[in-house]
Amino acid sequence: MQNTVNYIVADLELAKHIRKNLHLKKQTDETAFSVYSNKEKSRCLIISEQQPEKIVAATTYSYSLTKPCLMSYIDSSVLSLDKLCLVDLLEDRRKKKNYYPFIHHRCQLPSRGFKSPDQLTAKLSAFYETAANFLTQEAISMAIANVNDIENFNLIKVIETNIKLLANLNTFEQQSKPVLEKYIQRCQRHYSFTQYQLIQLRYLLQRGIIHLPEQEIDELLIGNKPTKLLLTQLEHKLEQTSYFWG
Amino acid sequence: MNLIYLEKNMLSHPRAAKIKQRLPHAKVIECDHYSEVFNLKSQNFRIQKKSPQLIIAKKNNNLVLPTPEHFGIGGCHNYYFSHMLNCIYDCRYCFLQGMFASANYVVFANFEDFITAIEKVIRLHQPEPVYFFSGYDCDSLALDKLTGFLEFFIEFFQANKQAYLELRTKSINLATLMKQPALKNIIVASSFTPKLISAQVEHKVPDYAKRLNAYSKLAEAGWPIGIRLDPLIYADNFAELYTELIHDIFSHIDRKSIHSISIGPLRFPEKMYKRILKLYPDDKLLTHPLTKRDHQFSYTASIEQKMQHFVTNELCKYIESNSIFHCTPWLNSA
Repeated sequence: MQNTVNYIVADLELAKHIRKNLHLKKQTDETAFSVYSNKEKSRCLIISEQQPEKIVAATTYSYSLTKPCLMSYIDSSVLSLDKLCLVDLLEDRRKKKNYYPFIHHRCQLPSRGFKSPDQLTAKLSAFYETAANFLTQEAISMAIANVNDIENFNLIKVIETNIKLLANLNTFEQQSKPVLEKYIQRCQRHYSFTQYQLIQLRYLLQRGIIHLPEQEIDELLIGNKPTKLLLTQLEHKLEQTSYFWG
Repeated sequence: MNLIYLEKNMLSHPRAAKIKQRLPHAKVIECDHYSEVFNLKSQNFRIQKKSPQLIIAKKNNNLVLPTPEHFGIGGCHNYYFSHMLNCIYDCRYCFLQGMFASANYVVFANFEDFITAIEKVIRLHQPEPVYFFSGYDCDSLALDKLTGFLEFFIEFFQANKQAYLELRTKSINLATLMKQPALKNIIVASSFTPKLISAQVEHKVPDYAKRLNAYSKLAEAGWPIGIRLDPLIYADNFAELYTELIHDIFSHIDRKSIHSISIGPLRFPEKMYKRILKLYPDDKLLTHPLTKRDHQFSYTASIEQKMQHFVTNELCKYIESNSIFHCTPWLNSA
């Protein structure tokens, strides 16, 4: 998972606004959907067509493309009384399902619910259900802009405030994993593991990273020994470690 | 909290209305059942813990349940009930973090139905005493200002002296109790870990010294106090840490006010442990050397016995051994 935020948009006016304000550049013409991203690849825009099934496809494609940490769907409607509001409830009567998208407790934006049957709710529902297959609920957001305000209101600036709140909440997903993965990769270069041994290794290293000095882990991993011995030594080392709450 | 999810069948409930009044800025979103919002597969406990919302619901079934065997503080008939799910504190040893995928607070506001269920249990065992444990799936007092739980239940237990209520809490929000005369059948119980461990493991919990002072005042006011050394947390110098903790407890709280002390080792059911470790892969407590025994993750049997033995002996220096209970509810399932 990268630190990318993917915006999925079906409204061309909105897409134009986002591209301009987030300084996004077109990536390639050869994909099913137009994809734009910034230089750092921290923001990515995927333009979908209006039909719900296209939104499902665009959301799925967008996830496979960048493995984002957050996904946000933005649409426009005359139904939005505010310049911009988040979606806090979706009542999809066709599917007989209700969705309650996550709203950050510090979020200052107004929020409202949407009920089907209408085209907007069908689109929102298509996005939400698909995105929830890839990300936790807390990493998905939906916003509706008032159709009359897109041009004279910097809505992406406001949306980004909410995105930053969500990004802060989701940071732990990115922590500690790189260190563990670095060790796992290193071990895999020098040893062969069965699936079971790999699970064991992951568990032991996870503990080792917290409780053993880096140098001791490094020393343990060096050498041309049988995999079983490596795991036993690691386990033994952890058993012998002192545990203090200093 | 800026959102309240309210079950439609609680729309006209007066307690739901009161809670809404106490959170005037929160937007109310109606739902059919709390399970639409709570504990979904796609939710993440750790993330929600940083931004929890409130759900007001109605508990329809299993309002009062028997506790697992080997869980008790001297009574023969032990039951528990949960007027809330989830806790405002964030203790790393807590099973709630592995139990639910959501950290939102669910308040079952139909307190009257809990009382009806409690009355039924009391009648079943009459005239023998019955113990009711609250705070199993939540902290009994932490959101009391919002829910009014205490005031409502005190009134009932005041009139039903053969029934005992244990309020399990880490809160120092004890004003409601201090305002009224102590009741011998309401035990205010709190879990303690040594100061150094508490600071690193019991996140958002009021400071150790403040808690000791608060319970000391409660004891002075005549309320029976329960001390819960559960779970016992290991360190190479655990003897030193627990000696200090036990000394601190007895130098603050008059031993005559102590109703009971229970001791319980650190244990996680296997699936729960794996779920919690996934949420907090870099946590010091969870990455301690826990071993798998009988589908549970715990310290090795020798560490566990050593700690229990030491703590029991240390407690016996201050209090009769018949006030000390060993909580081992997993013995049955093992």
